[in-house]
Amino acid sequence: MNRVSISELVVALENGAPLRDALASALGDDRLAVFYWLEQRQGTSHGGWVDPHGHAAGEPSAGDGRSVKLVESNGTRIAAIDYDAALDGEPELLDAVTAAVGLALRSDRLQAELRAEVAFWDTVTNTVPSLLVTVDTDGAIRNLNAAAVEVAGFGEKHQVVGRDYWDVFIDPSERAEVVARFADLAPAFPAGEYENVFVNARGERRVVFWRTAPVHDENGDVIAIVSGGADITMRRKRELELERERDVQTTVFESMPSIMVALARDGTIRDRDADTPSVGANRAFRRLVRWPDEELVGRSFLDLVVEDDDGRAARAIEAAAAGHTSEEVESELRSADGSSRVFVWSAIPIADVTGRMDRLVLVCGADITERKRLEVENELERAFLNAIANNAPSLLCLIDADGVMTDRGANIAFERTLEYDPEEIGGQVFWETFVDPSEADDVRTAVIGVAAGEAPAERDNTWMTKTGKLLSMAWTCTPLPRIDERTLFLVTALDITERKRADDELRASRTRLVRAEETARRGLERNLHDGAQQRLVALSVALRLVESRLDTDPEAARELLTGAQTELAQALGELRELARGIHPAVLTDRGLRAALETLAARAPFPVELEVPSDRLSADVEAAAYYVVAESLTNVARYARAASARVTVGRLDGSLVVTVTDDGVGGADPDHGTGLRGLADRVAVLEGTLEVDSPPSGGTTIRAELPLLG
Amino acid sequence: MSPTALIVDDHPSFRASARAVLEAEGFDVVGELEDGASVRAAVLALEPDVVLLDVQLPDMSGFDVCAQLEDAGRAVQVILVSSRDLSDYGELVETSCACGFVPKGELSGDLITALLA
Repeated sequence: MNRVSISELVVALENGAPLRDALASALGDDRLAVFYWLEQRQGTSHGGWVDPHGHAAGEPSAGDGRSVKLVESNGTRIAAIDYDAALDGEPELLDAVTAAVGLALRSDRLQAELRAEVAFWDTVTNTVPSLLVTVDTDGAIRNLNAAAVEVAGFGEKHQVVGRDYWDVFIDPSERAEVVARFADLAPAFPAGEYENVFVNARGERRVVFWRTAPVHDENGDVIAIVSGGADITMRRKRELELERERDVQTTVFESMPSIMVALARDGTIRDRDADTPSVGANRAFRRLVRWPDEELVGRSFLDLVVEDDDGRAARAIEAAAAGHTSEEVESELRSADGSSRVFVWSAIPIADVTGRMDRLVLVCGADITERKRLEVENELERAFLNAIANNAPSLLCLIDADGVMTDRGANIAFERTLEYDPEEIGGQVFWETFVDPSEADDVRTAVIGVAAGEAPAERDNTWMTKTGKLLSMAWTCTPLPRIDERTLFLVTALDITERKRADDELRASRTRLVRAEETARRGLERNLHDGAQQRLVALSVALRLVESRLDTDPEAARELLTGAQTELAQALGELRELARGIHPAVLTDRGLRAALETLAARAPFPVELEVPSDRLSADVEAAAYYVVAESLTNVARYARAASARVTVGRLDGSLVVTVTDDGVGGADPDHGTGLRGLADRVAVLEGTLEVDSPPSGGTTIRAELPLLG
Repeated sequence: MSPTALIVDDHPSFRASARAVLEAEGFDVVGELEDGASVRAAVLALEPDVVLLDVQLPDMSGFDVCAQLEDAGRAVQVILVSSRDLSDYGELVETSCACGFVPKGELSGDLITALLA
């Protein structure tokens, strides 16, 4: 072991050699270590060992060729020396060396303690989030902590130390101003606070709130300025965001088509904002009710409600004031011009939309005046259409594509004509219930065709009433515009049973008239052939005989001529009679009364006449004449009557002709062509013919002939 | 012996005229009939030389009667008469067994003689 003497050790220490190195050299132990006991370490509540640099160390302990000697002062331990165990054989040396370094040991321990303390504060300074910067009175940065380095945008402290703080922490545009102000603050550099915004070395925008205070020396002169700062970039950003959010909310509030009014909890309309006083109602609301702002602010919202008899509006606002969203309310709101508009609204509790922090009630709704008006209009239109549908003579009903009748989808004409009650109709399959079963397939095919896009066309089919009565119907099926996703079809129908019957009757009547005409012509031809023609033939033959006999047998010729004269007279008579049968000349020449007098005179029984003498239209006179002529012929043929009575008179725009006899009665108007032909003839003039001929006796034929014009 | 004639017509006045004409012409009118049904039997029974036969009989036409007489095999001369014109019957007259047609108004002894010649 290469040791030095105690005196050399003392000299080395006085020359400023580190204590450990001096001890190691004195004891010849290279691995010698010194530890110091600190009664209370910074940042902890207990004592501990540190090395000479102030770094924390473990409890010194012997073993592995090492020994520990504790050094005490005034009864408390102050240090420990870790030495080669080989020295244990020389306790005097150890004691001597320890005593020699005693004073140096205490001093070294104080330094270690100071170092430990500085290290602690270094750590603290560099771990706090606050910025700490020390500048000298020229503005140059002397020291700064890790947080400040980071905010400055640098990686290492030494990159910043020595620069002017305004070059690091102040925006270039403000530097000149800051330099001047810094100069103004000298030499006292009073404490102050300020906020500044700058772009750091990494190009990041930073906002820092600074507090500064001067550091004085023992003479009271300012030697440095310490600035503690807080990076409030994020806080500022959040504040700006909030502000922007509020702007957005206000914009939304203003531009929403819905009406919005902010109310105080007592239901009065608030002003919108303490800073910019305007009414707490949005533009939509103000435009619709048109009250000036000063009339709205402070006014009870319920004042604007035209009537709130059931208190629903008041309850809605109370509910929102109590923190609950109200149910929907429909109200009329009074406008400034005296009119009113209908709104549907609800009241909502809100914390703050208008910039106020107290809880408010927001009335939020929509103007439904127009919708209401349209609803009323639609209702009227529907009522109008219903009235039309129910008063239309046509049958109307709604069916779906499967032919199923919709509920209450038939009009009154449909129900009445088909004899159903309204509630019996919905759900029925149209062609199964209302159509003659033998034609149901035709009708179904037609409807399905229309459903498949065929053009609607009018069809004639036989329908059936509830009681099984068959009706001829002219009907069409038309698709309607889609309602509620359903395609419905409108069936319209007209009951043409009566028209069809009348048509058939007219056709039959025409046929009978044509046949009667044909029969009359045949009869005429037969009469001419059998009557006048035969007589003329005989005359012709006779005259030829006369011619051949004139010379040879004048007597016979004269006889023949006499016969011929008789023949000729009879031929003329028959021709006259025929002509009268075709059309009585007296009717044309002298009118109905004269013609009927002629008929009466020729009848084989007395006929009482009561006929006015005025002239009527030729058609009516002819029809009346034939009614009487045919009737009297029938009386003569069948009635075995003693007398007859004919009356003609006007009644309600018609000519009424009656022929009454006192005969046996029992005439059947459907039997035989005479009365039937008369009825046809009368029908042509839209007249009627009635036959009253009870089996008990007596017949009355009554014809009514409209007198047109 | 005079030739015999049978008159068939439903009109009494014409039958009377025809009888006068035929008798004036020297015919012995052996019978008068007013319908067609009895003609065949009458011809077989009376064996007339001439039948003055109306075309428009109430029960059948003179042409049908003609056909019946042809079937009967009895030779008899038939003269058709009608109040209508020959043109009304077209070839019916031609194709019948009748030897002639006389419109009733033109009936005369001369015409009958001429037709039978």
